[in-house]
Amino acid sequence: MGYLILKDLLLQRKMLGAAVLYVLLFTFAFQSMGEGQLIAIISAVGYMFVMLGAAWEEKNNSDVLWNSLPVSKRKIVGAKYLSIPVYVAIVIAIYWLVSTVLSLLGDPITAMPLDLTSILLGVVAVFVAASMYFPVFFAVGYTKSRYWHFILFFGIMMLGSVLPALIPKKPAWIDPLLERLPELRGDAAGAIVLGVVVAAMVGISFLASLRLYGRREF
Amino acid sequence: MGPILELNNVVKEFAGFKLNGVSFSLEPGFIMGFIGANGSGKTTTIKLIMNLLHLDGGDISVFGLDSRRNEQEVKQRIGFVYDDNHFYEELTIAQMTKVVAPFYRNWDWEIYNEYVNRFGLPTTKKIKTFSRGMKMKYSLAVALAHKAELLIMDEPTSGLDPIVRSELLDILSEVIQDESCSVLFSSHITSDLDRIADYVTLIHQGSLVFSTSKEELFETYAVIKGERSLLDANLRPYLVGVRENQFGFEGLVKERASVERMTGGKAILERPTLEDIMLYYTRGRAV
Repeated sequence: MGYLILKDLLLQRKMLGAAVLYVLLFTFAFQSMGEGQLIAIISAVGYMFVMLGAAWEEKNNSDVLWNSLPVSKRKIVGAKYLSIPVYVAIVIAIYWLVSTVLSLLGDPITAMPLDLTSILLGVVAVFVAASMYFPVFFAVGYTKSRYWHFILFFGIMMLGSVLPALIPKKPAWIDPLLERLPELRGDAAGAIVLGVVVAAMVGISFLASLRLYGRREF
Repeated sequence: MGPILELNNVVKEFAGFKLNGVSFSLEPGFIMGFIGANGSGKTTTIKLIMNLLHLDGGDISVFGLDSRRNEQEVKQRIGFVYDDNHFYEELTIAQMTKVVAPFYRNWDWEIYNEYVNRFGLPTTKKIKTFSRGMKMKYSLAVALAHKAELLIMDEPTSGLDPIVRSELLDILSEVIQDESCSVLFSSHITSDLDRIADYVTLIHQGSLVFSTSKEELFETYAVIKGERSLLDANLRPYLVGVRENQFGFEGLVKERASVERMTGGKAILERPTLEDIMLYYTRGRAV
């Protein structure tokens, strides 16, 4: 499976320059987000790598290749999921580089320092988005799954913007929860619960992807 | 030793096309030419062998193993060369091979390097810069480097110049010398198969027309030419196809020996090419 991930990395190499620019752009755009800045950058650029990885497969019609080689579908599907932490590591390295350069320049753009909680939440965000995307990608391929990708992202963005309007009155539990948020973020129990929920989501997504990919014809 | 490849009553249905109970087998150490017009079902059959499509009926065994249940084992021993390139165009062949080679337990770098050098393939240039012939040669180098016992080739010579085509055919002839490798070679360029095939399978509109040895084919069939008066009720049952003009007729007959006796030297009987056989079968000329 490592060689499938290596293939993804070899294909993504030419994207590194663009990724640096995106990280710089998002660092500037998300300055006002405070601690959320790093999470947003990791999830946005990390997910971009996921999408590009899927696009390369379609461009080269590589399903025919991999399904003609002695490679199980489990490995083909699994490698896409295992590429995610590798992509995130690349984004973090780029962010570290960009934030270091910015600090040397006297912080013309505010870049939050790297912290473990933000990194983990960034990883979670990419896994959650990819878990919703991959089953559709493995079922119908990149071109057709783009529509789902747009629905997914615009849906989430729209939901975020209309949600306050949908809730007529702020529930009583919101304020205490918001006050406790920094505490919750550092809370080990909360992290474990979040980890279990995300792991279950990724597991279900993987099984769905595997089943749908097995039904596909090339 | 049983057949290296065996298809039994293979069925696959799409909207507007049906592969209709195709059966044939390939013995070890031989080259089988798989011919038919475009859209006849050659690629569908090959995709079914490679498990790229799901079977609607029948079964396929490769090396005596069910190709579905033993997919990984079977694919360890199959080499494939397709009409289109499916390797990543953005990678060099050095990078591509580094990714692909570890999946084959019998991969031999010495053989691989030998073919790469022989074909003059640049290892550091991206695959997208390769010509069609170079891409085919790279596919062949990968197929041969893991000591495949069965080569599945889907229109490998399509779009290639005569020199590269000839080179490929020479290599295939070499490869089967030790009789440990068999080749299923799909093509509509029948002259290639005239040269190298031991067996020929013709498929037309999803149905098998015949699957037989090339020798038997040329013993059985003949191109017949003669006056129109010869086209009587006795001859017509032997005709696969016929073209008539004001001077006479030309057609393809089966049971050459019987036709020879029947016409008693009044007709000219010639050895057909595979193209003659394919054309008369697939054009469906009125008999």
